[in-house]
Amino acid sequence: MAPAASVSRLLGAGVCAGPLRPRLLQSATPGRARPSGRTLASAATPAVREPEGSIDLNDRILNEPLKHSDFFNVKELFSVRSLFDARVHLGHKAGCRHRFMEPYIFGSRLDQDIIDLEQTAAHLWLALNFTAHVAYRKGIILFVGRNRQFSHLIETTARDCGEYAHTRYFKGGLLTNAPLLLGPKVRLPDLIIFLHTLNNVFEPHVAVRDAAKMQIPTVGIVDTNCNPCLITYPVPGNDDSPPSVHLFCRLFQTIINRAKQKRRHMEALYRLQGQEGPGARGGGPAHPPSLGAYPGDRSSPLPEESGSHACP
Amino acid sequence: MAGSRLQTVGSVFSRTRDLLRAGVLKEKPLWFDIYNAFPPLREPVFRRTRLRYGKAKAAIQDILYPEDRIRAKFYLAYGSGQKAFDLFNPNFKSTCQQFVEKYIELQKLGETDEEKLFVETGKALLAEGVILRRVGEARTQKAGSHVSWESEPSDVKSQTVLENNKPLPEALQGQHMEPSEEQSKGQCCCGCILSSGTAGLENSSSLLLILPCMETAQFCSCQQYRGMPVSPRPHQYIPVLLNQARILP
Repeated sequence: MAPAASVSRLLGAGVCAGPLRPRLLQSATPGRARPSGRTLASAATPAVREPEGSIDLNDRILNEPLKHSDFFNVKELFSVRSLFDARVHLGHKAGCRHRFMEPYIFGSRLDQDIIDLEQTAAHLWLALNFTAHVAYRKGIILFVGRNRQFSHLIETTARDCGEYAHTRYFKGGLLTNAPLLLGPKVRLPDLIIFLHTLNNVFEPHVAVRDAAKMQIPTVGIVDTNCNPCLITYPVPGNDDSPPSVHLFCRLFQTIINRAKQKRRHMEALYRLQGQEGPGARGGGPAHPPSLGAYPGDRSSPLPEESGSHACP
Repeated sequence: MAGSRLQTVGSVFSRTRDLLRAGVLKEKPLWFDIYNAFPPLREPVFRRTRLRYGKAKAAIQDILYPEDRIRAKFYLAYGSGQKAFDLFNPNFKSTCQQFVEKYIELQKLGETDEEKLFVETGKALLAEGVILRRVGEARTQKAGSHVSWESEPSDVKSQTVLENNKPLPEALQGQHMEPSEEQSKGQCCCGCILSSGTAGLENSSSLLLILPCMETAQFCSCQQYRGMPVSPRPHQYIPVLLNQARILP
């Protein structure tokens, strides 16, 4: 791990220490005239073609996943049965129910709310897909959760996928007054994932409202006593049982790692094809060891230049 | 960078899109295209929580099964099952579940009378070796009259409690004592039992009369006899057969 990266991966220190380094925002717009510094290795002889090629490459790298319906193969990670086995469907008692969670509740068995797992599966797919795309585009992801029982788990999850976590007391103004609290030119997270939407006094976590204020999209596990309104991609599910939280952490970790690996593959592929020149046929990736070598992760076939990729 | 901090106005996406369109926000954020391609099922707009007034109720159905009727009757008769629940085992079948399955089996064979089915299921289970102890046998000395209980099996909420709840209410319900027993069975404050007459006790021949203390089964001299049921102290139980009990008028 690079030293700069390790410094920035401070966990649980009560401070979102990641964005301390001033970084230029990598713009997602492909139409910029200024080429990005990455692909432009040497603006040598083909002066006209290289800048366009690099933009084109960047554009292709960024936009390619959006054309597929399930680029990261999210749906193979879980099923309704696996959600059931992890007790995701168990909600709180009917007295604790939040009014806005009623659409997501299947019914109540002897006063205990049961969450509709069909809806949960659909929401979870969207949430994981969004997370994967953000990770693919090198976005900063922040895991937030205030339940002390799972504080350590969330921090280790974040560390294992190379992202950030904040499971301690959330100082007011951390997102809204970031230049003062964290330093000038701080890059705020591009996605906040809530494993627990409530804080320790059963009120909505401050970061939910603050993320909405700062235009940061959120993904959150909402239990039957939570307010899902301000969360961009809510996932109705149990946030109190250990198997359930372990499952969600595992899913997020897997999908983020998968997305980052995909990004590396795509860059390698396109860099290779760029080096060989646009006329030469891309004879397949020259780095087979890196492809599909992620343990426990089946490599989906990468899109090729020639054919249209059939969606799985 | 410009932004809009009005979280109550629209969704994050709508505000960003409008800022971009107005030219206030120069660079498209990272997540914008992703949101465009894969929008959520519900746009995340702010909503004020409003209380429900009057008779308005949430439209959430109770989850009840036809087997719940059978379970209610089982717990009425037998109290909580003797076998403890093993939740680690995903294929675990409790006594109640075995009962329910056997009941449905027998029902499919054509039997229609509920009580008969019930009795036959009990017999079938006993034949298989499952222990079923009727609650009425163990606790006859509690006067059921003082405990007013709804005994309809369709009132599942009060009776189909989870198996590890205390069986005491079911025990009180399960016995077949008449309400007129209140004079004949009472307990003194010091714990000795006073009983007069055996009128109502002839209902079930298998009833056991339990005297908390045999030696003081005389009229107790303490003046605080109320006839209220007192939970008997376990070490004082001496089960005695009905016709051998020394019952004083």
